[in-house]
Amino acid sequence: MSQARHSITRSIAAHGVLILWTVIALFPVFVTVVNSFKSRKAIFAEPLALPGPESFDLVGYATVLKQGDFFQYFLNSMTVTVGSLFFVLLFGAMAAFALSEYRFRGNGLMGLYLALGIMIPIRLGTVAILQMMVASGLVNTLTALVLVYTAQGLPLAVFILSEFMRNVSADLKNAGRIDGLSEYTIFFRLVLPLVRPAMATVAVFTLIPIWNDLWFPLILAPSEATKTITLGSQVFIGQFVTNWNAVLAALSLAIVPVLILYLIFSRQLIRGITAGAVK
Amino acid sequence: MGALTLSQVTKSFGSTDVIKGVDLRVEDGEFCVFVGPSGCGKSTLLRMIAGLEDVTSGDVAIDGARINDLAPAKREIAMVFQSYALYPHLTVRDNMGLALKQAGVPKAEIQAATDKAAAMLSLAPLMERRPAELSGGQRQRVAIGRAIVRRPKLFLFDEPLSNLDAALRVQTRIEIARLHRDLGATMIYVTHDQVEAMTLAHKIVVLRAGKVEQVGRPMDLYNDPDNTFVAGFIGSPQMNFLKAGALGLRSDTLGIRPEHLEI
Ligand SMILES: Nc1ncnc2c1ncn2[C@@H]1O[C@H](COP(=O)(O)OP(=O)(O)OP(=O)(O)O)[C@@H](O)[C@H]1O
Ligand SMILES: [Mg+2]
Repeated sequence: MSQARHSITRSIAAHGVLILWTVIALFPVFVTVVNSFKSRKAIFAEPLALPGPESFDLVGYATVLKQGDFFQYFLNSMTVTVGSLFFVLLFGAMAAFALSEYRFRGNGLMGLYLALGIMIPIRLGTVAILQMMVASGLVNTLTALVLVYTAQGLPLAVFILSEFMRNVSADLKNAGRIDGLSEYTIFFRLVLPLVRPAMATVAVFTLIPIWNDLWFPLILAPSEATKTITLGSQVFIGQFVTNWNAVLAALSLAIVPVLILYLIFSRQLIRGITAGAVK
Repeated sequence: MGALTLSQVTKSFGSTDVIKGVDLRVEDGEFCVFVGPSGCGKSTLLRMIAGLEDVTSGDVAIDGARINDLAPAKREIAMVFQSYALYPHLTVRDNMGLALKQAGVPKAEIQAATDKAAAMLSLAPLMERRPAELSGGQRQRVAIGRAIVRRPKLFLFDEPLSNLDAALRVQTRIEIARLHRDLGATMIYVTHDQVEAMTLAHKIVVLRAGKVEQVGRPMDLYNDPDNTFVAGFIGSPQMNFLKAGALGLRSDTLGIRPEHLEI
């Protein structure tokens, strides 16, 4: 009896903390979305109020959709993000499989080298990257961004996935070899499905910085045709005047695609995070 | 059809020598059991026969043909693992049929072969389930079924029963003995269990630290061990060793099996 009450107080406390955290985490998103539906005057008068009949105004969205080619920016962001994600997961998983599965000279050193990128920010190499892109004629192409983001995402992907792949039963892979499966089949059909939660974790951690990045689009691909959504939103932020309606509307719209991608991966992600806990 | 010969086989991982020159001949249709203390290299030797580990030096041959450089799938062997190692995404039927499918055998033939193996192991009602929906004992039977379906020259078992409870272990052991009789195939079996070794084997190979200590029929090892290691290893409870001098005898050590003592 006392045990039951004890666990109730404990679960109330735990939920209290979690709810508080949720509120803090969601507050900026909430303010952004709410204010994107209000007129400029209402945003400044009562930033926290919900849009009412008087303050409700879609002028932000109207500006965003009129100004520039927002649909194109969306498409660019989507292409870059999904493309980079695909290559990060594919190459990251392949490298991780090689590191975890095969004994070869320099295996440990290679693993260390591949993981080193986690600690060294890729932006330090911006000038060199820009020179390379200019030399290879890739400036103002989405390819440039996909290449850079793939390089940026790989170290973490290799690191996490090789740890997970080490835990995949060696007997299972050996059974496949005896049954005549090729190494590719063993990789794609046996190992990848078993590390799916880890793949989802890597996907989410790779996806969000790429979607939000302003640095490389600004430097490598600022042309109208290749602008990403984050860069596109910057036109509303001027040195002297900022069109807050439009900024907030653009940001609100930009949340939607990541949210969708996140929801796709999140079920797998939660399994990945709790992988050790449930057994 | 399935005689195995190992000649001066060695294996090193980096600078550690794990198998140190093993010579062994397993006749066609024989049931051969590897025993030895943990870490002596039983699994490694088995995996070398399967082709899952490279041979550092020496030759592995089946029916006189050297197979050192042959891929595991081409060696006409089948292996049953301690952890079952069933493919989690495939049904029991597909698990059992995968090797044949990879070899390009027609569907109808695969169906016939899996049905036959299922009947031998009474797996028929489970054919459409996935491994996650089976008990441990059923999984091990599927793993054995998967080995049978390929009609290998040589069966390799690495402690196949050690994850099962005592009653099931006895039952599955009898099943393996029956399979051996029915199929007449050569089998190599690694175990820690004395009873399994003594009851199943035609030939027991005692290994210690990567070397063969003695090879022989179970009762020969029991009655006439070559050295004190084999004498102490075979038999449970263990043999008692006395200083022979204490009894006024000339040799070094005297061994007495507990079961031969009477009070
Ligand atoms: N990949 C490896 N790298 C280095 N050493 C290894 C490797 N695999 C096995 N060994 C070593 O080889 C020796 C033999 O291992 P093996 O697995 O064959 O033992 P075993 O006789 O099967 O033992 P057990 O009865 O406990 O299963 C052990 O000392 C082990 O540490
Ligand atoms: Mg072993």
